[in-house]
Amino acid sequence: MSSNKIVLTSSDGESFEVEEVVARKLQIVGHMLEDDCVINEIPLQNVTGDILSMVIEYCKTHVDEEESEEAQTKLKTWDEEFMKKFDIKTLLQIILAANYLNVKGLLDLVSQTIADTIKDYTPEQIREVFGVENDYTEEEEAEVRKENAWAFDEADTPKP
Amino acid sequence: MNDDEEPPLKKNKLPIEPTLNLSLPEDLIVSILARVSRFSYRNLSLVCKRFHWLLTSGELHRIRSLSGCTENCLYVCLRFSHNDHIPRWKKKKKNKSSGYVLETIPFPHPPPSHGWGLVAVGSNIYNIGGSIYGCRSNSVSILDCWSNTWLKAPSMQVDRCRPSANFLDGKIYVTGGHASYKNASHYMEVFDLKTKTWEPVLSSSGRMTLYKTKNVVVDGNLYVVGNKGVVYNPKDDTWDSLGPEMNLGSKWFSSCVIENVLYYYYYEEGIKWYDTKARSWRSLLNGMRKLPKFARHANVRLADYGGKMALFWDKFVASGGGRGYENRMIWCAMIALERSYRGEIWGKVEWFDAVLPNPIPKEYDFEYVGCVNV
Repeated sequence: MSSNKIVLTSSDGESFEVEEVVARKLQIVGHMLEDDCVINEIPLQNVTGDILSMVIEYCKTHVDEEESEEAQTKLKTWDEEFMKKFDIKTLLQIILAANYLNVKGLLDLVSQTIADTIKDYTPEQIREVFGVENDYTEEEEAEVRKENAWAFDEADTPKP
Repeated sequence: MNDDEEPPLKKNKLPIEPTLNLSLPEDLIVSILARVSRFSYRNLSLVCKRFHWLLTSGELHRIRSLSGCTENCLYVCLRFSHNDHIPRWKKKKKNKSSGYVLETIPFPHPPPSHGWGLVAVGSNIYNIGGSIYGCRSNSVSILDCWSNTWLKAPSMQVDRCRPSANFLDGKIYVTGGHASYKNASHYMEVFDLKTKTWEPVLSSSGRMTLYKTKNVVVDGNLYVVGNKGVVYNPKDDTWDSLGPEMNLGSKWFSSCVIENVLYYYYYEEGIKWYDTKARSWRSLLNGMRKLPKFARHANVRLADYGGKMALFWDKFVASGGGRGYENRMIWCAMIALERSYRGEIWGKVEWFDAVLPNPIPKEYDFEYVGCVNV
């Protein structure tokens, strides 16, 4: 049963043949398999082939999560290296895919990577990343700055 | 700042580049924001109203706690003089050069008292008793360090000024600071965080005759010290007296517990720690190397900063104009602690610097130094 192969097809028609244990790491697939165990081809509408291939790469690496400290450290190093390959746009696509396919470990990993990436960004750069617009009026923005005055550098705050 | 009549949380705007059309669902945004350090909240809250709202919401804090993304944050409360009714709350933040500074917390209305017993529990600091315009108080408030707001908590049964408070197994133990020496049920009371009720703790042996006390928690035991010392074990409700080596007097005021080890600082002795097996005090090796020599009358406080030792002290500074030394500067060092295979504890000063930008009046005192998890 565990050597069963399953074909995952992306929204742009790319197919990936993976072992069932790997496919089950995508919880969306796991649920489908529970409902009906004779499926061996699964179309995944909300993810493109290039992103799906990365999710599968993650799942293959994490397929047997060992408890030992050594294995954990090795996985962690792999995770770090894996994440280094992507720019912020790709990371956003991966987080959406991880959410849709329901891969908890990858979701946490990408969330942390994006958080680390944006931590030193300016507000304008963050807006660009998330595709949001500044909806503050000048007064409101001044108010938020004031509210967060404690978080500003010493040079920004008036001396007592 | 262009369009003021826009609804605040409109999501489906066209991004500048079509490739960025990835507006994430709210739960993913929260998942990311929960993992960003609080030191970056300034820029994040300026992004848009939705971000600002999320960053101050309790939901984000809940997710941070659940996914273990919380950070340690040191809180310091100073009082500038004996008559100063305004406690000055500061918290520590990282600055650009990987050091730390203390910054003032913008409370709308800090409680107008001093002489509290203060104890950190998770992301809250419980503010217990104190003196309001010269009268002992039984009131309890909670500083929610996530939102920097004050919450009301159930009052104690006894009025107390300068009590000592500590947290152990879901309960806060408060000792001393009461007026009547006669009533044994006044010495100590306990607050159960689950039931939100106060109850007196009665010492069967009648050994608790302490007024000015300090208590610390080591190995599940509550050490209560003052003119006499006792150890209370709440689990089996047992009491024991403390050995003469625990008769530390004023040294207790600079004491703290880090990873179950009790430390104190004293001018002539440096930093010492208590070896519970040998029932004796040992020096922290190397702990203060690299640090300048402290003045004899320097105020020194120790605190646990996620397993490291935060060491606060002060230096007198000349005020200029021939007025002598009227002010002091607050300094802080971060000391990593390591136990050797021979059972010694070694310290390593990782960083030290002045942590307030300006000198403060020399009569100041520390009301509190402690670490919360937010």
